Amino acid sequence: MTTATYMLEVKGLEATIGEDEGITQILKGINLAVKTGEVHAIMGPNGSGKSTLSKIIAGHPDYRVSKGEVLFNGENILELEADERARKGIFLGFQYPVEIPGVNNAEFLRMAYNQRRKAEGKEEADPLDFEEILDAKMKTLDMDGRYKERSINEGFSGGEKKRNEILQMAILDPALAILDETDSGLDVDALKIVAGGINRLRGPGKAIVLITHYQRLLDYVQPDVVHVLSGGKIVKTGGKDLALEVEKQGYDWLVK
Amino acid sequence: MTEAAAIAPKTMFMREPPHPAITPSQEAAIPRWIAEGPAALADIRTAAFNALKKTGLPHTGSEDFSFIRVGEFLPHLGPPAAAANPATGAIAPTAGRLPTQADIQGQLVAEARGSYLVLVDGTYVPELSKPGNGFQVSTLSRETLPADLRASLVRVAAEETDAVAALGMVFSRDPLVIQVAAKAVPAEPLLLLHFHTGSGVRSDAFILYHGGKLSEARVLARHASLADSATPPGAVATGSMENVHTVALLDDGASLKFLEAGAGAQSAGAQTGTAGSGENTVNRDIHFRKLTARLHRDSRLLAISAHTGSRLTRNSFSVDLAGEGAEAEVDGATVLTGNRQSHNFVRIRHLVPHCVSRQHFKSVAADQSRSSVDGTIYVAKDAQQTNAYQLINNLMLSDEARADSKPQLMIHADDVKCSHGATSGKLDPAQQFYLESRGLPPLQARALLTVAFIAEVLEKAGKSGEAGATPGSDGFRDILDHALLDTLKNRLPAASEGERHA
Ligand SMILES: Nc1ncnc2c1ncn2[C@@H]1O[C@H](COP(=O)(O)OP(=O)(O)OP(=O)(O)O)[C@@H](O)[C@H]1O
Ligand SMILES: [Mg+2]
Repeated sequence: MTTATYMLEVKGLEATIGEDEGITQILKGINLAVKTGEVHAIMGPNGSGKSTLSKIIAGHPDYRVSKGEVLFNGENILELEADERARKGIFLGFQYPVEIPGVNNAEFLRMAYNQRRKAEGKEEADPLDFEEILDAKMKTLDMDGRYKERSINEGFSGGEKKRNEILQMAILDPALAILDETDSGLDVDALKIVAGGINRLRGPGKAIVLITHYQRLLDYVQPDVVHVLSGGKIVKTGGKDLALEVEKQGYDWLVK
Repeated sequence: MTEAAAIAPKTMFMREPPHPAITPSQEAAIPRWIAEGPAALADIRTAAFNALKKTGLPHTGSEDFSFIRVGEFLPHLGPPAAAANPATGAIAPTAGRLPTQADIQGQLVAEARGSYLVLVDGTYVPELSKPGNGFQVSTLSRETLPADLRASLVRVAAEETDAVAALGMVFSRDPLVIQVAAKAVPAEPLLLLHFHTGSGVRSDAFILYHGGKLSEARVLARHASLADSATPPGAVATGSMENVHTVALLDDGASLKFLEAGAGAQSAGAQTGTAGSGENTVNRDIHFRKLTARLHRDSRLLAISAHTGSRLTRNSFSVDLAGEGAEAEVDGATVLTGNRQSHNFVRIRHLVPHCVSRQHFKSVAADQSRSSVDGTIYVAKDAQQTNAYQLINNLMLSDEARADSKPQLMIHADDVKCSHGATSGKLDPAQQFYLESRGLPPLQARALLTVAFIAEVLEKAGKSGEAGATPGSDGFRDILDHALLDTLKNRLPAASEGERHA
């Protein structure tokens, strides 16, 4: 089997943060392989390295990869900048989306959308056409038109920020979406809406990695594979039953 | 004894030895320039000249020129070519050519298509101008000002402590006078188009704005250079110095919005293709701009200056709150790249109770650029219930850039609300990563964040489409935006390795 059937392959990934005395190893040899069309869930205790893994895949400059590789559609992407990876179709839904006062949400979305189109060799979208696309996507996420006028995430509630992440995902239509605790802080109705957004992306040619602490998201978005990450390593991989197991018993039985 | 003899021994122009700005013989010519000039200007020119004699030329250590190397502009302070020989002091551009209709059309903005004045090297050119309804436009030698207005103007000249502004008032050929009658509210703003023609030219513009009781008006100013095309092929253009002093006298209840897009923001060529690109010329040039405002009861002033600096740019604001209930806001938005400089000098004086003043200066400094804000809020002993604040925010895009802030409060009243603060920071790497993770190239992400940083100030100019602005893509706010954004797009350096992995 060639690696090309995998959309994402993480091989023996070790990563550190800081320098000299302050250096900390966070990832200690992660192996992960996600096939096209699959949904994987990653669970794990606080501080185990889930967000670190997702940020390294997205190209965050703070972390240093000391070993291993990350392949996206068979290509090693570790040398690529974050924006280049994004334009290739990698999307990270942040656990803590930042607020960016002064940058208009809708304008930003249009810029990002056009960058993606440019990367695909398409023309920039006509602003009015884009507005239509945006309005339609916002409707499916039950988002008020006012969000277009506001600055990125500025003053958004926790749940609103997460919904805005899903909106961005829907607009950019990435091949690989890594969603870092997008379900945290959502009420039941919002959870259903966000899950709907994720399910709409799901399909052939796409892959989704859900980082979550809770089974309840997985009730709406059924994962094909579940991993438990602990101490910078994947300690267990299983089917969707593993998530139920974790929900019932916690992580102790896996970590020991 | 002649006036010249009286001042010659004092060597006031000689304090910076390497750059004798004005030779004694040139200095001696000034009284002649005044005597032989229009009689209607003599009192103001004399008052300014006396003020200049009192102040002396700027020297190293001059408090008014903090953060500026005086030697950088001192050589430009001699009399303009025409003034040295009063016989040739006819009103005509000192060099180069007049702007063409295409040059002018290229500088117009949507809100003021039918309401603009053209100044060439500081001198008003009525033939090329088209003042909008509600603005009475004239020059000081032709207009008989009401006695009290004239007295106010002479007083401004007499009390001038800024040597460069005083020089401008001495040498301005025929000050422009703009009046808005009591209760008049011109529908369109008035656009002042400053064209600069030449290399090595110093131009002095002196502008009086008088807002009558309860009048309400907007004045926009733009600067463009015609210099590149004026320089003969092969000749080396040397920088010119532009010195603009605007005096705004606001009667009771008058309101004025005064917005200025600095040179560096636009050149005639960049817009119309008819004149030279202007970029290099603008960068070589020195710009001194001063707004002196005197606010009477319940009057309002909003002054915003947005620009991209030059070899040396100095914006000075001197605002007197002289009537109860007056409100002044003075803001600046600056984006500096290369080795450009921009220095802001602000003096707000609360002379009476119940006035409000606000200042917000935002500067972006990239490369080896330098910016500074030296701002003082003065509150007189009787000016109780004063509300004043000043905020200076600097965004540093390079370790080699420099931004100095000198906020000061001088408060002599006891029942006041005054605050000031200054911050200096870099772009937030988390915000930058967020934008990049959505596919925006680093340069675009940085430009976007940088514009967001100064947007807060630009917002105050009013969005196009808002009341008073014509919807469209070339509103003045957009021009400010584009001017600053273009600078960023073209010349903003990418993040250095060290910065990204710090
Ligand atoms: N920039 C950083 N500087 C120092 N330590 C860091 C940094 N980023 C992450 N860490 C450390 O790395 C470890 C893993 O953090 P990470 O955010 O990846 O955990 P997580 O699995 O996402 O946890 P949670 O479930 O709480 O979100 C933690 O101990 C954290 O403190
Ligand atoms: Mg996390």
